[in-house]
Amino acid sequence: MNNAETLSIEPKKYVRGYFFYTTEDSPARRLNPLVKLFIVISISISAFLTDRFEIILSLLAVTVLLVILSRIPLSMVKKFILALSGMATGIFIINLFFSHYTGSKVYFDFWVFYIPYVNWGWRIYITDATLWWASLLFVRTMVMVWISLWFLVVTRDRDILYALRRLGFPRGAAFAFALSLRSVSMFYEDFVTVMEAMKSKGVSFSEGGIITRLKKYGRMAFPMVLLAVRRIEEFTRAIEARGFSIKCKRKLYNKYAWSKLDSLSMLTFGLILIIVFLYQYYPLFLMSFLGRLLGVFPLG
Amino acid sequence: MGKIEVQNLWWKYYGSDNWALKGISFDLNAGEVLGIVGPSGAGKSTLCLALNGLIPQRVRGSMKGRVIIDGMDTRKVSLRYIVSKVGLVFQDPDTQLVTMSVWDEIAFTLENFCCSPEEYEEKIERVLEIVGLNGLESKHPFELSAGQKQRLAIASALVVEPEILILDEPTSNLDPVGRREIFDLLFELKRKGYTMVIVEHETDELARLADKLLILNEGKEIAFDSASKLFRSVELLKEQGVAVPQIAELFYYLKRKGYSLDEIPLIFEDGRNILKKVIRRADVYDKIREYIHEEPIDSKPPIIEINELHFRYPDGTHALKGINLTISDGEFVAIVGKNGSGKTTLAKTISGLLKPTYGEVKLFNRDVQNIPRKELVTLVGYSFQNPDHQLFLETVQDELAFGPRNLGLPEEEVQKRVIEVAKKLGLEQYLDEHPFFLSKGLRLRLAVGSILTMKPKIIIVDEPTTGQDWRQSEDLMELLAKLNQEGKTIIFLTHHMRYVAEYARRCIVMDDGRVLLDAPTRQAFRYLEKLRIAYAEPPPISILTYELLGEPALTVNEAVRLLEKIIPKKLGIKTTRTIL
Repeated sequence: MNNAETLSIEPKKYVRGYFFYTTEDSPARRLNPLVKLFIVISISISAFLTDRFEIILSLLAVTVLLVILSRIPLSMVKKFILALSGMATGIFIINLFFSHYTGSKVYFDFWVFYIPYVNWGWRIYITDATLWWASLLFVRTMVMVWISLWFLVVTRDRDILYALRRLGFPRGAAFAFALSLRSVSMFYEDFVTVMEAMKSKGVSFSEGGIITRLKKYGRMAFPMVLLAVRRIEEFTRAIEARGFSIKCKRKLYNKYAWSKLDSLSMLTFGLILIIVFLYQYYPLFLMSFLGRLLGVFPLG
Repeated sequence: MGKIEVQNLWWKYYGSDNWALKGISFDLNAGEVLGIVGPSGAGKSTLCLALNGLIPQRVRGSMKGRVIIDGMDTRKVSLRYIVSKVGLVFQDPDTQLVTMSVWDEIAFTLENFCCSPEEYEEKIERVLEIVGLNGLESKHPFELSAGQKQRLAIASALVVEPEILILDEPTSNLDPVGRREIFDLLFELKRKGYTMVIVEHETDELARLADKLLILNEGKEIAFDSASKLFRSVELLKEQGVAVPQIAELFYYLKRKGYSLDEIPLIFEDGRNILKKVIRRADVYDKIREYIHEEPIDSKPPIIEINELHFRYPDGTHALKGINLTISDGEFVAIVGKNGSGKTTLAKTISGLLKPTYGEVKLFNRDVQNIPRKELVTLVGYSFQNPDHQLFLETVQDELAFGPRNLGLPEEEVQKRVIEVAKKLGLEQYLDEHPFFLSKGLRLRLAVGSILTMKPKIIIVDEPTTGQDWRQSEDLMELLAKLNQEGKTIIFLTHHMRYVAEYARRCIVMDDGRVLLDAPTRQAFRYLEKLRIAYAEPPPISILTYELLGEPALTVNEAVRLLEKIIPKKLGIKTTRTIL
């Protein structure tokens, strides 16, 4: 079978979401939107709560595992991962060169410049504590990147809105949020088309230095802004023509059944949050609790 | 209920010196359908906003005169009350749908009217039944076709049971499938007794649907009368820049040529019935070929060669499924087919904007992917459907100069090309203007012009007539024809078969990522069934002549010429009317 034949029999695998093409079906896609939101909140809060390396690496492992189990095609999101990994690396570098954590060992200490009159300057001061904090922040950011990515790929826009309304967000706020998400998708489509239009005039985005490339992207701002303004005007007219009001409330239409997998996921990620909290702030209590638990059910 | 009275209506937008509407007056009875036609800037959309109460209640400006809906003055009752009586549907379905599913979209309107949640199920079910979207409740608007989206927008207006429905160019952003769906729905709504006001450029369909017609131009009411009378006023329609229904135009010219006609028919069936009485196909079949002027097919070497081309988008959509084509130097080619048939993807792979998943595209014997971009744009220029995606500089002059400057040409040469193209496109007086202050027709010309200054040998134009009025469309197509005469190879993508018939010498019909038909235009029009599969039905005049004479005429003028040769004048033509 040649390549062309292979192409023609492959079914369509992905459907369009706001930010990414998302898998058509997977256990993660079928989770109740509220549960998905809870997982993101649980992992994110856990990552912020802890400053223990072993815990944050475990959280990263759990998140990556979640992405793999959700059968997310990495080829679809690799650019996004690379961009955000770049951001995490940026955070690492900034911490390395601009923070002054006092540590037990000093690896590097150098004044780049110093202005005596104002007693101010830039000193690169790298200690073991600097490396530890910079690395912790790097991994923490990566946890956030992976869990956000997982959420956006397995959750469709209407599910996000549903979850927000279920959490009690006011109609106006949830509607504005949904509309802004929708605009992001249209904005992205415009971005791609404007970029193609510029390419059709001979602009190459992969040539030139950073400044030249930024200038090329800068030119796109004008049509993008104008298109956005026109769209906002059209949206406003359309909702006014349908009598838009934020005054009355409606019963939320529940399209989502609650499954055993939802209960299990809530329990698992609720436990993760509790364990991380206790391990960070009440480690002795956690240890004694686990000890008792193991005592009741001794191993072996 | 459902009566509209407009009394000497004047409207001026805030900050503008000119009146957008200048003394419009008309009455429409309940259950009647009013068609509004006129060129861009005529005030059609402004009038729609006034009928729905958004003018003057939400839009800032000065108003004189009155709009009375069922006895209530739109200035004196709440907007929500007017909106419950008058539903308004706009041109672009994408900017009207604001929620995440079909069900939520309709529920959104009900919620705005504080309907009780218990009523939702029943009301939504009923309206989905009317527009034929039942079963799609949980679908995301992204997953619907263009026609389905517009039907959803109509359902969202209908769910609060208004008596009047205003539709502002409801089909102009749709492909032929969507257009068919919407007109079918509008006929159904007419049957159900809705009062409707429809702004529309597609007069062939509007002539069937409308009871009354209002012609606007520059805010003025040019004429208001029964649709059957005004659609027969061919000279008036042409004078006002309105497309004339082809059947009416044909019989109007036949009458002028001396045939005796009691009444000019407006719709296809009437025209066919009249002509059938004086033409016997068997008698004319052999003769007709002598009268048709077939352009010789060029045997120039191909400049575009496409072999086994496949393209798959990241979402897995297999947009092109093994395309094999060659296009020769100097051809004028139309690519037609419904949305999603692969037209744009094919055009983008030809212009090197998309990389084939499999197969190859060769331009001038070179793989398009191996040609450096700066050289590629001198071989093929691609003009996008929406000019606003393509214009990003502050003056028309800069916009025209951008391409050649980017190619590194000397400034003297750049300016020479700018002047040359501006002259050709009639943009000379706008060189210092900001592109975004030009009319859409001029912006589209500028978008094509910004490609022309790079002197590409092949020009691809995506949907050059979509969303434009008849005169703007004709102007742009004339421009492409002129460029073709100068030696450029033209490829245009379109849903409007009138322009295919009138301008293209070759027609490529696409369906589901494959080439369904590829032939000289007249020959392609003989394959009616295939064209119907791809929702690319030839214009009425071509179908009529094909059915009666055995050969499709491509334009009204050609049909008149053929019929003149077939029907002796002394026979005359007896008219009959079909009751719709």
